Amino acid sequence: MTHLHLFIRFVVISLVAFGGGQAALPLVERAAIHDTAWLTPSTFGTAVAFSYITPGPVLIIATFVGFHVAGLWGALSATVGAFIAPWVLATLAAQAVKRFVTNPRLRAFGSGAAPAVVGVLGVTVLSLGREAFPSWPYVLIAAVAFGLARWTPTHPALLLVLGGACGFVLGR
Amino acid sequence: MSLLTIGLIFLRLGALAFGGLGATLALIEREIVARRGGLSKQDVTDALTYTKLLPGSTVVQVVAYIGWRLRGWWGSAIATGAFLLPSAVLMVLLAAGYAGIIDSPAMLGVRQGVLAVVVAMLLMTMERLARPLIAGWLPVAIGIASFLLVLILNISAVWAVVASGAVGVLTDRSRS
Repeated sequence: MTHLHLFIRFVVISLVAFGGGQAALPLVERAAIHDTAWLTPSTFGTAVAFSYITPGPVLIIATFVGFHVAGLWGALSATVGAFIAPWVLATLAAQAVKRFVTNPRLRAFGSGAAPAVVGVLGVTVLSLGREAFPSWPYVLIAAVAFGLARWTPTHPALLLVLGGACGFVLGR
Repeated sequence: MSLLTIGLIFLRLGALAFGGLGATLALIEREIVARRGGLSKQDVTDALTYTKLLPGSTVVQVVAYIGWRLRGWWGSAIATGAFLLPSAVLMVLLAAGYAGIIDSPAMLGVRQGVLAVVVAMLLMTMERLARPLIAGWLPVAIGIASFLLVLILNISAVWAVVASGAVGVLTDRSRS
């Protein structure tokens, strides 16, 4: 049952992820922390970090969640779930480009869904933020990371490694 | 191009696709267009244009689109599977290593430091996704409404997004 649950959760997430893989992160957070308690916030944080450090799409976080919940088969169920619907849609789009993708209704649906994803992202930032800052130095880490990510071309993986290193020193 | 070649090319691309959508597109273009001459540059541009509007991971959808252009449904399935394989295997190894090593009490500081950076990165993603939307009053209203509905009334995030999509369709119709 867990495998089916993982599969369905990620199919649904992928189908409402208007705005690409990063738009799916808040939906993964809602599903894996808020709705099911599959992951703790700190585990989710590490999973997001891993999904940035590894090559490929950010939504590969599904593999982590699946493995964490139900081992190798869980990883398979979640990964297939996360990518099967987008794969079918993209291949259909390649096959029937004009009919399908220039459909004004799909466009309108996407234009309504995109700002909702931003709103959900706001909830995710708030609820993770509640766990992320046990003391002031961590606020400083986040502020510096934001500044570097926003105004310099620093790679996210480097920021995550630096954040982990700072945390290691602080946690001793 | 044979299915085996497609599989090998996208396995390589999947292992090298660091740095998000832009970097990966450049990589795909170099590998498929410049080196193999399988498709034109326009095909890669089209792949992005036509999959960007779809829900789901855009990188993977560009790969699926190009796989179809190369060799139909099988080409698409093999390209997508091969592209995902390296990162999925790496992720399983990391997830296996997580238990017992990174989730140990001694590493609490590391997890907290990483989480702080993740919050900063999500805030950045939020800004990037919101920037093109704040021009109109409707997207702003939808964004704020979903935020409040999910936060305060505890409405499922998926329903908030689907309902907002429906609002998009309804308001679009009244305009035309």
